[in-house]
Amino acid sequence: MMLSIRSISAGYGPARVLFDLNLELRAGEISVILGRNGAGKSTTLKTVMAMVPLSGGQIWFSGKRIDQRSTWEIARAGMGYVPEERRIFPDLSVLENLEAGRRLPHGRAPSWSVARIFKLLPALAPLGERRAGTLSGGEQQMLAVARTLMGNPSCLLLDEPSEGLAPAVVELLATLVRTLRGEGMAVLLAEQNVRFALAVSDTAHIIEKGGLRFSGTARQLQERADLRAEYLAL
Amino acid sequence: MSSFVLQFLNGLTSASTLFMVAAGLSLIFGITRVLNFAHGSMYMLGIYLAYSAIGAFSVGGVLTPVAFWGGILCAAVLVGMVGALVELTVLRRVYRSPELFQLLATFGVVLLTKDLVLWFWGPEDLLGPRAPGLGGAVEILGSPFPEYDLFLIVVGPLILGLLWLLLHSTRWGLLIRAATQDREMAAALGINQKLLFTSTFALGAFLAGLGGALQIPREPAQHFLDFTVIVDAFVVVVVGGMGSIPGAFLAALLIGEVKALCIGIGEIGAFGFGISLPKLTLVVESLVMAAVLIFRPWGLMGRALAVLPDAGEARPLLARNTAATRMAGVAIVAALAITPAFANQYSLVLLVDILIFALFAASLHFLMGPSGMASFGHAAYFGLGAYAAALAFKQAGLPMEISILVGPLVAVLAALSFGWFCVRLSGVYLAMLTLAFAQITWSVIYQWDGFTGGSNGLVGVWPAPWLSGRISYFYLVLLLCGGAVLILRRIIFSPFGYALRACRDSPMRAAAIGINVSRFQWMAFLVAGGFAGLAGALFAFSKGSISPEVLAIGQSVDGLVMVLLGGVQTISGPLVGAAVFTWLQELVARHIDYWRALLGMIIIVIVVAFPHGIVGQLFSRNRAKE
Repeated sequence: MMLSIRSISAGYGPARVLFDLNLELRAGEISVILGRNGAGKSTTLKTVMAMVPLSGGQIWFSGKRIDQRSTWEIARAGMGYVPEERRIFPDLSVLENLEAGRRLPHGRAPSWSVARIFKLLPALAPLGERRAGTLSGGEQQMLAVARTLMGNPSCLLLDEPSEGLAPAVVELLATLVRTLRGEGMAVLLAEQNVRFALAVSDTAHIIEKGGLRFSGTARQLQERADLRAEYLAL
Repeated sequence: MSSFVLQFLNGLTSASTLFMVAAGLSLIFGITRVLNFAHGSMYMLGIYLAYSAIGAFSVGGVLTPVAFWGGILCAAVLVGMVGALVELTVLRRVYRSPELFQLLATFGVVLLTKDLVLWFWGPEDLLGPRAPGLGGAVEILGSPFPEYDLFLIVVGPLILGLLWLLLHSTRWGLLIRAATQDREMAAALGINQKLLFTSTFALGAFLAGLGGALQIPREPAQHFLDFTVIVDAFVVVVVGGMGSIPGAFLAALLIGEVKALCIGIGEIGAFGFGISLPKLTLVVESLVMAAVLIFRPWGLMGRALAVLPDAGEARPLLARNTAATRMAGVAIVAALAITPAFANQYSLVLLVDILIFALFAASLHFLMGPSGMASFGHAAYFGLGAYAAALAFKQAGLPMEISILVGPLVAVLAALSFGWFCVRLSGVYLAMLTLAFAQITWSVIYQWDGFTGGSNGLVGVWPAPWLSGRISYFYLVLLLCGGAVLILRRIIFSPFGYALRACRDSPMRAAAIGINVSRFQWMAFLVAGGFAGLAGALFAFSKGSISPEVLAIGQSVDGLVMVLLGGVQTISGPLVGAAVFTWLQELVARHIDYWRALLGMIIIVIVVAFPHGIVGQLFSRNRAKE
């Protein structure tokens, strides 16, 4: 098991958001967490990154317990995180953003380089010297993912990557995610875009009010119109 | 003409030094978001260490270039190591505490360093040797100009260039810039912030130390340099824009030249007064800062600071009275009321001090807590209250009872004008502007010998006969301070108080529901200023004399320490803080030579152990139990 979230509870100050949540992710698996606004999707990813304090439960990653580690240690252990707000460094150039994310993996050859990023995301290539703050939303999303890939992670957490993007860019993103799976990387998405999510995912989870309501394959969820109506309809 | 050119060059010389200190401060603030009060102490350490290192390297008392330059470099490196040590032992533990606690922690370091310097090097000025090979002067337009100063003029831009290279062409610099923009995201990319923070602190301290060490041929090592330098450095950093190195350079040039200009112009006559500009450099400097901040609220090259998601905030803990706290309050007042029956004269004097400073702290808390505006210059209102009362009594010949009311009145007028400017800014910038106004007030009172008594202050400010006894004056102070604190409390829980808290917690939403945010904050200044002025007036008559000390920066800092010691999220906190601080100061200063060091240690321990203040900690513990 690549990532194993074992009955965690977490929240902000006195406000608890997650209650006794369980979730597992295998190597080479793409999994999506679906749910409405405020259901706890982003909080789940942030808790894995130790950006939200854990109040109960355990998190295991590649056979090691990580819930007592700090954010940077978790990142160095191979956990990549792309936040919902993208949070690129606006005053750094595109190349500098990529360099800030560069990190060599332990004990294996790095699979990511600037050249490979630019080959996979050709839209970024001519923007190398541009200040990242001047990029469009879609370009910033590409850069945010690319910056995290430069750290050669073995597992990727993507928080609402399709939010606010044009359909063509979402398509590009889907292709990218499938490429990553082909290389054995595990990806955990948090999404509201059900169509995009189910198109790229192997497994799906639904959370509502901080607790798990469904876990199964993406195909199973496709067939459960009742669940989608109950938890995902707007 | 030639004297003008020379003054211009002098300005460039001091700009170089200012830049070195300010660049370090800005760098540290940019990444750690800690406003490092101890930065001036690092500069001071630099001078002292350079003095000793050069002495130690001069074998047989012979000063060689190697001894001189080696000594300076050695001093700067040592200061860099001290900076790293401070970061590792103190600041690392408080990064998640509220901003003001970090400030308090660095202030503890200031006190500690000051006494260490006094203990190790003694109180005398230490004059260092001239630089070998640069001891002479060159002729510029017929006047001699020191070679060493020319050398310093070159050093500033050189350091700017090196810093630029470091930040823009090394991976370390890239990571610094990334973390300055979003340190939480940097951590999520696997960047080890601890290492980055420690190294930045070391570099910043190194620069301050170097700036200090390079002064050794120009000025003696003195133990009060920490304060003068930190104020200058703050001004430069704020004018340039927090976190911007080129901004710091530009601002250093501006401030350096403004200072030189003041000295160059000398005495001018205006309104029948002779105004000596060289003595008023600080005033002019502050005015320049105020002007810059009004037109560019983030400084010349700064920009709005990103909000730190992981920074601790003072929780809005302001608790309403419960039966228990009300009982405790009544019990304390009752105990105070019967104290004169058995207390000796000394205890009464101490109690009067405590009551006065409790009101001072409560008024500052009103600004910092519910209104969310940190003031670094609250002594201005306290001191103006004291001076206004004393002057009304001495110069205008008003009776004491009226004079005591003149104090708060003048303080309110001052708050009216200072506050108007301050509420246009927020956060650190606002705090710096309050400091600037306090410094202006201090300078004016300090310089105006004929009216305020200048550095000697005023004597013979005694209460009216019916209040002249220790006991009767104690009751007057108890009545006025107690009443004032109750009124402040009342205001905090009035609709006005709730509106202020709304303005603090969410200015946009407050504005959206029709609250005129800056108008309310302005009124908060008036309230806080008035009550501080009352405390000042009572203080003047309790001592019988006043000196400019009452509105010096030290007084403002005392107030900050009291409020933060007690806890900014409670109403009783500042009162307890004032009592503990005043009592400690009295007790410790009386028996121990190095009381500042002890106080510094206590502050550091408290900040590290009680991140919410003494009373705040009690309340949180009670809450946790619930």
